Amino acid sequence: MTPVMDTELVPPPQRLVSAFDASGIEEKYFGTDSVSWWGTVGFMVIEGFTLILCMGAYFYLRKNELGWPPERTPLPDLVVPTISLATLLLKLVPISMAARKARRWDGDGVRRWLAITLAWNLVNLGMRIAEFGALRVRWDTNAYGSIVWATLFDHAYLILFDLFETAGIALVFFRHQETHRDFGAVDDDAMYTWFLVLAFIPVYVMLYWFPRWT
Amino acid sequence: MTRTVLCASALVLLALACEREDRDFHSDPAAATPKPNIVMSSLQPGPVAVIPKTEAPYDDNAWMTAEGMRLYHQMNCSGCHFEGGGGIGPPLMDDEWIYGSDPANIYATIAEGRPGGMPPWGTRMTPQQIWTVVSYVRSLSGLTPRGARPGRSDHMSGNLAPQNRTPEKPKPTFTPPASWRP
Amino acid sequence: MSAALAPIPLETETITRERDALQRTWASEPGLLGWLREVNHVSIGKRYVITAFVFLLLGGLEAGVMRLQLSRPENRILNPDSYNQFFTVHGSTMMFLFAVPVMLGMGIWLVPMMIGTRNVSFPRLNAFGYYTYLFGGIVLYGAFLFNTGPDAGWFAYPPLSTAFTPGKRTDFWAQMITFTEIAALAASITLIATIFKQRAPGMTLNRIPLFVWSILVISFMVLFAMPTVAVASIFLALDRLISTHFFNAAEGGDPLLWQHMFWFFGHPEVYIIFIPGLGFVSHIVATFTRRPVFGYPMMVLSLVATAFMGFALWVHHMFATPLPQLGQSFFTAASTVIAIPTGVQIFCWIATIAAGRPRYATPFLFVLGFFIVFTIGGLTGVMVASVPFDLQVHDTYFVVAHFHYVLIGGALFPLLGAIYYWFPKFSGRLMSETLGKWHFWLLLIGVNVTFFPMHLLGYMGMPRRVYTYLPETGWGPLNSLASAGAGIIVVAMLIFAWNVFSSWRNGDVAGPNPWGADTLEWATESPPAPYNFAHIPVVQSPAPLWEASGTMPVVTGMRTDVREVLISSVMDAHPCGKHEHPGPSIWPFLTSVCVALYFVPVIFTPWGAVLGTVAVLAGAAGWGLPHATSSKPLPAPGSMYKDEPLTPEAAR
Repeated sequence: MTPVMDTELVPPPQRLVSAFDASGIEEKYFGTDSVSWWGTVGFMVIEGFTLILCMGAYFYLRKNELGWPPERTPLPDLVVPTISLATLLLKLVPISMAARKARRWDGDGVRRWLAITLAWNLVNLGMRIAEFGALRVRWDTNAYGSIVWATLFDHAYLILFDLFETAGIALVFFRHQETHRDFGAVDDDAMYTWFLVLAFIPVYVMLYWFPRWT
Repeated sequence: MTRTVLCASALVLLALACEREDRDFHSDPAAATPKPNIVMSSLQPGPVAVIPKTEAPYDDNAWMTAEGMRLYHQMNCSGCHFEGGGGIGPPLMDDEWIYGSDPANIYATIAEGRPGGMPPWGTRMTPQQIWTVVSYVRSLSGLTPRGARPGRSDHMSGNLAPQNRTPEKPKPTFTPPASWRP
Repeated sequence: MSAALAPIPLETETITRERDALQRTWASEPGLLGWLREVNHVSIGKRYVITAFVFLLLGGLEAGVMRLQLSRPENRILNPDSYNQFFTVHGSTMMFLFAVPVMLGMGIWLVPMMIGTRNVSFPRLNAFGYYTYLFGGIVLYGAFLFNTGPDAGWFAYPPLSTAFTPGKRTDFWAQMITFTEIAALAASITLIATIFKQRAPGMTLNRIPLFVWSILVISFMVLFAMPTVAVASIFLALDRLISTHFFNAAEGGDPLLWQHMFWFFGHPEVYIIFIPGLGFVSHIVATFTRRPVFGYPMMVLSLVATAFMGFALWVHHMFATPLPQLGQSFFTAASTVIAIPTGVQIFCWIATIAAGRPRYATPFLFVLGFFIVFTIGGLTGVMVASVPFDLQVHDTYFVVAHFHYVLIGGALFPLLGAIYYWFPKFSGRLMSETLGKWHFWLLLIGVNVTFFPMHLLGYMGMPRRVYTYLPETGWGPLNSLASAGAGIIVVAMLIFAWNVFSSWRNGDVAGPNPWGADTLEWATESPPAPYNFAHIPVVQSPAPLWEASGTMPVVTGMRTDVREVLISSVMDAHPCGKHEHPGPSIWPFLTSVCVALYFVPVIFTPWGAVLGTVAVLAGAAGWGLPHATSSKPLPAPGSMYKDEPLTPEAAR
């Protein structure tokens, strides 16, 4: 076996010198200096892109039909989805308040607003379930039915996960076990909620208004 | 103990999976297809003989059921029975079986024909082919295992795909209406 | 860096004491439970790489059986049904279970060492990703073992994959996709956060090693490519399971929708596999010519440009479908243009090699092999980018030859070079050079003997995916030659396997930096301690180990009793925070089991989705709820935090 190590090339062991003292640096819990912020943003990108793909598929399938919705398929209902959107938008108030309190390390304030958010989340979930009926088409009727169900279901999963995440954080706060990081989690949860609510606006327009325009 | 259970369940899985996914391209049709025992009447000559029930060979087999579906359309079964909902011929996806829901009865119905318009296919299809159609017909009312039933076809959606249908329990007896009798 | 602070030499005694404390904090736990609870990136990365190589072996064996079957006309080793399963499982294994995971695994293993940190940003998510990937592979091979291997090709075009594949074969394939996509997404998010926020102080954007750049680029590509195939495969599974009509033309669906979605993933996938290969090549070239790679900014910009363009040429896989003329022209142009950034990089390497005095060690030989094989593949790629030519060779062995040249040349050769190059860091021992050279030459010959005749077979009209052919076609001799080449590849890879095995046990002990390389991973022991660096290094140049100052500037003042890492700013890598990592946990594994409880039952019944949602939420609850590791007491009322929002500005 030929030796491959060229000993002359291997640098001599180096003496360690302290060039930076990190003992004064604190962990950051909010914004881009917290890694969990990056994780949340990563998941938002993935889930947002998933929704965009569903919307892309929707418009791609649109071109296969003369009318939209296709013949003998009724238009979706408008009332229930609009109420659903309104309840989603209203959710932004309590979660933003909770995040505001979290940024001030106000545990009681967070508890109060998280409780409201959590209750409101259940309303959102109920409205979403009602929304499936408002589509007025089955998933196996035609491709239009398939894609509207898939898009709405995709977003319903976001609501479900958000509900679950909020419930987890709230549980920690209600048991008074919160740490610094949980205050950061409230902030990230609020950012995620903003994302999921704003992401629903184009979905809402596509599902319920686009068929009325064409 | 755990290992025995694991091995046993693996074997069960293997047996199940093999049946469902088997694709038999080179089998001898005669050997692969038992002749059905059909009893048309409750009367028997001599002492009571126990007549073994004939199992459908392809009920568990997804590929063969799909072959049955292909033949169902190619042989124009759909011309009278439509996609199982019936029209000129009786429906095949409900719980009513004029001549019995047993595989052997369905085989006889296809092979020998029935009065009132069902032609005999025994001269046009091999026993193996007939058995595939038997399994497809049974899958239409959900009588075969769900995993082996066909999913949606690439046609207009009408009835639910066999895979998505809740199984119909065949009614014990049924008197065909006068128009279906000779 | 804080300029006021003069460098203070560290006492040996302090270093030893800190090392002991770090060892206690970061050590892996013993036993099977400890193995399942493991969260250190070195272990998880190693598992990724080893698992991926096991799948390479399996995929290679399948290829070997297929070559045996095709070695002469009318062979009867495989029947058409099993041949369909073999080529589908071979393709799916190589793309989903080998190529992408091995590259991300190398990233998980190497990136934290290269950027000078202790672990990846989300250690538990990282472990979860590994188990999910493993389960995806087990699901596919379990199905294959039970004669339920997918048989509709690795790209599973409907309607073949919907109405014409009864049974559960394609469903297993679709769920395997979902498993591996989740794993890839978890790894990507982890790597992006790690690279952005955990770089050693002073590692500004223009000092990031090129491999780290390549991993950053592919992580972003994964974020957009993998959701696409996941959505597509879910549509496919829904079409098969609950009779939706996404791909049913009779009900307004569209089989081409699948092709668009699949290739919007599938083409970037090629670059996801190939860009880390470019990263490997850059490091090997720099080390063995002993000079920094020429044109660093151009190299980085080329990587980024490749990533962007990689998303704009998926339609060239679909030239045989009815597309608008303008679309065809656009995608032809895009497919040709992407040769430019790759060409820029190849010329940068050639410039580096020409200006230096290369040492022809095995890793460097694999780089030269990469140049040859990949360039041939790239040239045929420019050929098939043209629509009229593509229509002639579409679905023939010409295409098979083309993409094997590209993937073996662009990904496997650099990867094998990287294994030889980083094996000392992996195991602490060097691989045998003699065996390595045998491996290289046999592989180079074997690959060309196997795949070059396939170009000609394609011209002669031999279609892909036929399980046999008639003697009158005249394809026999070239097929025999290709099969003989496959035999040579098998011998070469056996030599490689023996080399790995024997070197791991009794190769030459390597020491920290056997090649005299320049990047930070060589500043730590081989194999590295679980905390990677006793002191986080401070980076002052793009090639930190080639600074012949005799001293190594490091960070002090990090806690050693908890798993603490330094957080730095995205652009300048200025230290701006710390982060305490969670310790070992069984929950990533259990949550991964819960994910399997979603995806496996859902193959058989839609109720699996309900069961699975409950299971996954339960897993997430178990994972998220106990906060035992980070239980620092809250500040007392009236302390510095009260009513004082902590902004990034305040932190600086």
